[in-house]
Amino acid sequence: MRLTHRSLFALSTLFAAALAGCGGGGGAAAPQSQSISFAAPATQTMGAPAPTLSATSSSGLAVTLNSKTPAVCTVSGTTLTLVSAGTCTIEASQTGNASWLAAAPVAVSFTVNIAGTVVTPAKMNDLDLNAILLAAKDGDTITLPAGKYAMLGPLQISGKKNITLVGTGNGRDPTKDTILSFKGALTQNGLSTSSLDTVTFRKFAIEDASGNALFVTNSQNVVMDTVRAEWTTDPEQTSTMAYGLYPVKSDNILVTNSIVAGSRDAGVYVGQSTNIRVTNNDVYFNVAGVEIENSRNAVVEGNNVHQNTGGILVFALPGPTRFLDTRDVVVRNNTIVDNNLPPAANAQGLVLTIPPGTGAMVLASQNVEVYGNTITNHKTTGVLITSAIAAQIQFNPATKDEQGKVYDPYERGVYVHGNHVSDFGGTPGGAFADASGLGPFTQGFFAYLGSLPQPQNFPAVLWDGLVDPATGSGVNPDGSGGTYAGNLQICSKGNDITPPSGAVISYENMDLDLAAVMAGGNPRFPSPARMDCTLSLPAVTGQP
Amino acid sequence: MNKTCLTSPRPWVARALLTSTALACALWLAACGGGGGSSAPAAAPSPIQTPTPTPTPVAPTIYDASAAPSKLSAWNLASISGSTLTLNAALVPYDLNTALFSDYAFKLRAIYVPPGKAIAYTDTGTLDLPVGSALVKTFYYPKATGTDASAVPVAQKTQTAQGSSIDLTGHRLVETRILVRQADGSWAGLPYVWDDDQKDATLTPAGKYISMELVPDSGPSQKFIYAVPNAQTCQQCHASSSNGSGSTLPIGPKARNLNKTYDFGGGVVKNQLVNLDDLKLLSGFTGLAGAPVNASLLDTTQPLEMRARAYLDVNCAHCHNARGYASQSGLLLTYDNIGSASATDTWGVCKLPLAYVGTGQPGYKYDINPGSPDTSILLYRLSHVGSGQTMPVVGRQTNHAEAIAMVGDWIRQLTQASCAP
Repeated sequence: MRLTHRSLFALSTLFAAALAGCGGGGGAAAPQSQSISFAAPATQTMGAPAPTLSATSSSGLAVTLNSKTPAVCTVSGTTLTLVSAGTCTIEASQTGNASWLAAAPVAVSFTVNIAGTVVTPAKMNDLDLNAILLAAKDGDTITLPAGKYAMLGPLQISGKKNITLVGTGNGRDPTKDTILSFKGALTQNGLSTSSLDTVTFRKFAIEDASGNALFVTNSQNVVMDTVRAEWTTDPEQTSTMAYGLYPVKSDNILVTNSIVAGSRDAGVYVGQSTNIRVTNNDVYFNVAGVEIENSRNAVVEGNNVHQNTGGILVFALPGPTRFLDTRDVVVRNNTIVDNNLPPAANAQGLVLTIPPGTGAMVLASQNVEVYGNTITNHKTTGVLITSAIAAQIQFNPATKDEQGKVYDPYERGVYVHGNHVSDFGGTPGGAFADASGLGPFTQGFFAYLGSLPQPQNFPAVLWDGLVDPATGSGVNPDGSGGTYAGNLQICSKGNDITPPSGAVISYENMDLDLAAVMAGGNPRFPSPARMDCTLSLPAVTGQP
Repeated sequence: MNKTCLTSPRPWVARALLTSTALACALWLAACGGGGGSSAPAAAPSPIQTPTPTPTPVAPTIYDASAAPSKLSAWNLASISGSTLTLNAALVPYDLNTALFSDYAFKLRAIYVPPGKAIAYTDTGTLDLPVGSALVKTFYYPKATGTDASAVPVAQKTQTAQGSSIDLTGHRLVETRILVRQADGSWAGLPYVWDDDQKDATLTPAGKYISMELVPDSGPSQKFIYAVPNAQTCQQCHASSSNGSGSTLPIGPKARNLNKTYDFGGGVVKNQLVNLDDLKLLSGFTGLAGAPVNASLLDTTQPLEMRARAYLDVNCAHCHNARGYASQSGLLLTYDNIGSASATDTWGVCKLPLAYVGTGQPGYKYDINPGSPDTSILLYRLSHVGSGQTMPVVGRQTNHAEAIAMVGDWIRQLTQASCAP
């Protein structure tokens, strides 16, 4: 007689009942074996409802389900949750009890497919790709093949939810990476997107796009992961890529593991946005490496920023419509090296306010903490802190942003600490070299240092020293002097400075006290009292 | 040859013209069959017919985007008879005081409003067309003789033609774009590209690139790629109040653009707003007194400021407005903002661009440097082509010489102080 699960179950139940009837007589009876019945679900698709799992044991005892592939699927009770495409393996187990031996575990596997479109190489042109992107449904993944493909115009996505655009890699090998080349495009911009709720760009490259390589506006939950935006040929002379990775007017932004090279403005530019994390990117050959502009709640950490004109910028500029201010930004644990590239002849606009050879620059922003960075080899200075007034940025004091605020040109609440700064300030550039700007000051300052004699260098951290008379106190009628209280102060303290050779004075900080300097006075150096302070700024939280 | 074309003319009261007219052939080619006969009899010059009885005209069929037919003929928006394309008489042709420049393409525009409904008039903003309406814009060029068989030769001329038809002997049809007000109230854009045989057009939502050669009256011609926009690109411009997505809106049909005289053919020449009102297609219109009016780019009797505001509004403001696709630039070129005295920076005066803007030239610091068109980035980008330089970014591969001259004159005479060097 062939015993089915059911008949086994029936027999064993009878047997258990008989034992119970004997009144627990010495526990002499041996536990019985049991088995598990667990059928594999059919192939699943991401985004579609997942089935409820069902597994039973011949003993009637409850079966426990566990995912062996939590990256693909998870299970809680009998509820299956699909995490990503791949093979999902679920193991059913029953550990037994006094009456039943543990059952042999049963594992089942099934495929989880992505929803969306797998694009064939034949469709890798802007006309066909735009048709695919237009037809994409909420929740879709559009998968791009390896290869280098020429685009004549921008790719566009707008007004969708939960969209993933994924290639095979962001490297430079067309046999295994996905490369979208805009070298021969008729109009500017690479990938131009708007009004997306939850979008991920992953594992592809955008090459030689004029304008913006990857532009995302008016969106939320934006992830740029393992992307490359690059002007491939002689960017200093020929690039017309304004921005590389460019989320703007958006919320909840993650830019990570990406490469941006050769833009004429900022490589990674996040503007007019909130809740931002820029981490672990390699950014070089741009005018500005990473720029957080007119934004709130941003963390810039763990990036490798090198060979740009300026490394990492935290700016508030006049002009934008959503926010006219920048506040609550942390720049930490980045490697910022050799950002001395002259801005290309065709660079334009406010980006030219960056003195070449500036590691990090904080302009007219509020509550900015710069710490734990390694900042090496910058001709002007390691960290430059300035108002828009010193930068001679003109603005209309009547123009309001969408929050009803006017532009505020002053810098407040900056704390620079615990950075490792070396090889700085030997050849100040930009306004500090301009004969009609601060060039004469620099010459005079260096002459003074030479007379001491001390090394002719700018310090590791330089503040323009301008205090807002309205929110500070004690500012002189000519604009010099004054102090901020509490968390409005500009502080730089506890940095690990490698001073220039032969220095006996501190080269950590200089408080330029610009209005005094312009009136023929002196900067506050070395060891400026106004910068000798610490801050306890509110935590910057909320990033993806 | 389809018999329909040989039947007697089918006269009816032409709605647009408020006059009786005759149509020599049935609507479009769906009815004509496109029979390929090269010796189609020319439509007889049609005397005014006595409509006894008056046949019912074939109304256009309006589709939502999801049901859009692959051929334009299925909409019954126009018909071709002999060598003339004529709008369905249920459509009202119109043009604009100053229009979007599209590489010198001529445009035959028309409005369709379903029977019994009307457009809500407003002095400001886009007129509110009822559900079931359509805006139909056919792009075409005067024919020319080119130098390269791989490029379609077209003449560089400034359109003066009005009316409700296109003479196909002298013109080549390129595309017809339909903006349809769908059942749910939303607008959708549908591009149809004219087939090579010029008998019908095919729905081309992915857009198309067409090599052309633009031949001026004198001087060298220039080759360019005419870009039929894909449906996404349509949205970038037409979602003018939601950053290039979401709600699509028509751009042209605003009172100030439509407030002009149009020659509807058949001796009917009248103001376009008045005509719509006379046709009972406009509600809430109280007459031309007080109605806004845009200047024509080319009307030298108008002040330069009015011509510049009109041109920049129609050509730039669909992106360069506070809620548009280029709002992040802070350069807002809307009709009402240009020339504002209090926020001159917001329309470009001495405004440093927030980003690199692709002039590739030293000396261009500001969007508009009053008195100095040759250092104003705005004019640079209007007067150059190439992927890194062209503005607007959609729809222009050649320079609009007449507009460049006008905008240059306008910047030259601005009274604001010139910018810091």
